[in-house]
Amino acid sequence: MANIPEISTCGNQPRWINEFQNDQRPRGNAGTQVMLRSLFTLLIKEPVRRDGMGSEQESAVVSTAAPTETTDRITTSSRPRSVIPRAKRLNTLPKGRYILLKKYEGFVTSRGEKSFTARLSENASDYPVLEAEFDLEELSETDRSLAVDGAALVWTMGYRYEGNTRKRESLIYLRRLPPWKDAEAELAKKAADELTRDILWK
Amino acid sequence: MATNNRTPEAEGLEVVVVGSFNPAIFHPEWFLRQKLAGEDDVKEAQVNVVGRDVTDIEICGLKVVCINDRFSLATANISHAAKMQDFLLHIFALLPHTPVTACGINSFAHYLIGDTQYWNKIGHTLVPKELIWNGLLEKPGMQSVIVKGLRKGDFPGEINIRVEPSQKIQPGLYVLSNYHYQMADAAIDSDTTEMLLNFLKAEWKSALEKARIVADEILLKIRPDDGEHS
Amino acid sequence: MVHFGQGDWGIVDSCLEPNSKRPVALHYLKLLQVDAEKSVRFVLASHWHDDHMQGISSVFKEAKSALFACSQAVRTPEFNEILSSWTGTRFLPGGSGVDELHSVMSELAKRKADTRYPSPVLASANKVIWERARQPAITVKALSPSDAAELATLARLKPLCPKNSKARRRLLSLQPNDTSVALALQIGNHRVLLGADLEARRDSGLGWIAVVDGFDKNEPKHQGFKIPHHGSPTAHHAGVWDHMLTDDPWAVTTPFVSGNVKLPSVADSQHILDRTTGAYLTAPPHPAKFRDSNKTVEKTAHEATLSIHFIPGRYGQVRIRKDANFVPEAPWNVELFGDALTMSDYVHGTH
Repeated sequence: MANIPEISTCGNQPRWINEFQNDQRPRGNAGTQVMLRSLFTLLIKEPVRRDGMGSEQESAVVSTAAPTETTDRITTSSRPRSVIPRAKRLNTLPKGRYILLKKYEGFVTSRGEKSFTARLSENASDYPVLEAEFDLEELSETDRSLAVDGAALVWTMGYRYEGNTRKRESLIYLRRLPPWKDAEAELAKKAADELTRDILWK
Repeated sequence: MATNNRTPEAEGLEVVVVGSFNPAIFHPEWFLRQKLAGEDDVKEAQVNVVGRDVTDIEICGLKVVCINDRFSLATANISHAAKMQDFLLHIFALLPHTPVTACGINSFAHYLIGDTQYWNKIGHTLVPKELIWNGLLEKPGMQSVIVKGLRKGDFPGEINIRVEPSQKIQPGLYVLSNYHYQMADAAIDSDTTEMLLNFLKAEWKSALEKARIVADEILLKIRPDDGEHS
Repeated sequence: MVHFGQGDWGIVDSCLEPNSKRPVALHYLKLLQVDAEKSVRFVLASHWHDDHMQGISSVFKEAKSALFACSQAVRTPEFNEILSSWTGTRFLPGGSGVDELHSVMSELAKRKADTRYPSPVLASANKVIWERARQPAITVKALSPSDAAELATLARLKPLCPKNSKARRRLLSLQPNDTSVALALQIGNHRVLLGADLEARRDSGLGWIAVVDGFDKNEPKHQGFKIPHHGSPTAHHAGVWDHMLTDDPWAVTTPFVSGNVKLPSVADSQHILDRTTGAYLTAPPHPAKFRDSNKTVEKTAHEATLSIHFIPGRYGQVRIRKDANFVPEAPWNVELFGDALTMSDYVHGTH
């Protein structure tokens, strides 16, 4: 009995997907699974790697380990080009490089016409805390409306790479947290009521 | 906790959710409609493919990759970590009936070691050669070490740590941390999305910092010999 | 903090000691080798502003013999709505009054079934919070909030509840603070007035007007005054000085710094000095300069902001003592520690 593949949530496992050009007949390589989705389309599902952890480094590793059972093997079998599926490597990580020098998190304590003030700390246990006043111009036009009392924000400083160019960057991010849903608010109120219900106040 | 005072040369974050998805949803226009991205973000978004079976786009500095059983959101710019969390909380709050079976928060970091002797010392300490490998191989070298541990708390699961020589920064150290959370088999679909959201809130900070913490510990405990740079 | 003699202590509000980052009350009791678990009789949260609440739940958890007291507003459904917001924002970094409130309520819920713990007390105008019969007899009485004050606060809280506001934000301190608990302490023949952050409002049912109106002018006056709301003019009411305090009482207040607001201002302090010669500040209202070990961060932070600093910047204590057996007219002994100073020195810039 075949091993049930481990469900892995490790990042950037190389995923091989098949692009179909014309004819979408399945290529039945050993180890692949064919899932019938409809009368008109078939999806060849890529094999799940059994080694558990992929790594974003793997794109750079030249490996001479035995090839896995993918459709990427170079083959000399004669098949009409139009039905040879082309495997494409799906990279789950974007390009780019950033060196983080400092991160502060906190919330807006007040907002004026041209600026806003925030209370921030690097760690939750920090004391004293940082208080900083920012010009609203530091935010994009769409973000300015988010800088209201109590709004959570993150302030990072670091170096961003664009190719070989290194830029020093300060970035203020106003958080876009999902709003309270009625059901969630109701549950939270129930929890608070439950907590305080039996406290015997004098 | 004492630190080695090193700053990673590169850091990133990737969240992988295993479940059942409709990749076609995740078009940049959808993010605009949900107010997660602005019009300029949509214009600048990079769309590699959006389709019924696979979606691969980059928007707001984040990469969204979705196939039918796997959704991932990633960044190579760690300053976008909070934005990533916001995206995830929004996405799965908007899709409350998505069947989810597992989630992993992966953080990784690359550190410049600089000195080759020190770099070799790290590999040799993590995987000693004398007892076994020297007798079996010519010039054995550590390629990768994976260690798994348990995670307690409200969302118990595994922590998988992977340590390798860095391919990006050489000579360098690469550390990947995977916080894995498996939903219970008995959970129903709406429960699993709720569980996912709560996991993403509760374990986010800890998962985000784990790669750094592991690297700090390695570099603190394995010190260069006198005369080597640290 | 108040020591009532014979090993009985009371703690009103809480802030952190900057070096140990522990609640300053616990830090101080440890220095004196006083067992907080056995010696603290009450822990009172006069109001839920962040700067008065830091670490109060830790204090309460350690002071296992203490009753907990706070404004009666916490008993209302509206307050529970505010408490409920904790579940939606607890994953956000940075503590707040709501976090401390939730932590205290959790501790109270844990203690509820155990009769060894004293019952918590809801404070309202003219209610006794704690008393001791043996000599010198002690009475700690709340002077506020009034019923009208509670209603006013609850009306302002309603729009902030998760059901109404929907936005997931930190709850900032409500101004004006109508439910702040001012206290009158009677220790034998001595009386001290603790003003919390209670403000003077125009409405006669609220703030200091309500307190002064409710004060029996035939009662002995208070010899000491913890000036409310960091000496701000919004908390000044002449009636308090004229009817509730002796001539030339000692007066002490703590600083407040946020944005451009620095309390007490020099002008505010001068008004206080017009009323008493014995006025003190626990520290001047100055923030601390922002510095970072990474000079690139320091430079970038200054470039990216209009202003940046650490708060609180300065830190000190004022200790005021007197033997309870002395006559009321006998002077109090005042000691200053850390950055504490006289208000006169602050006004004249000699610090």
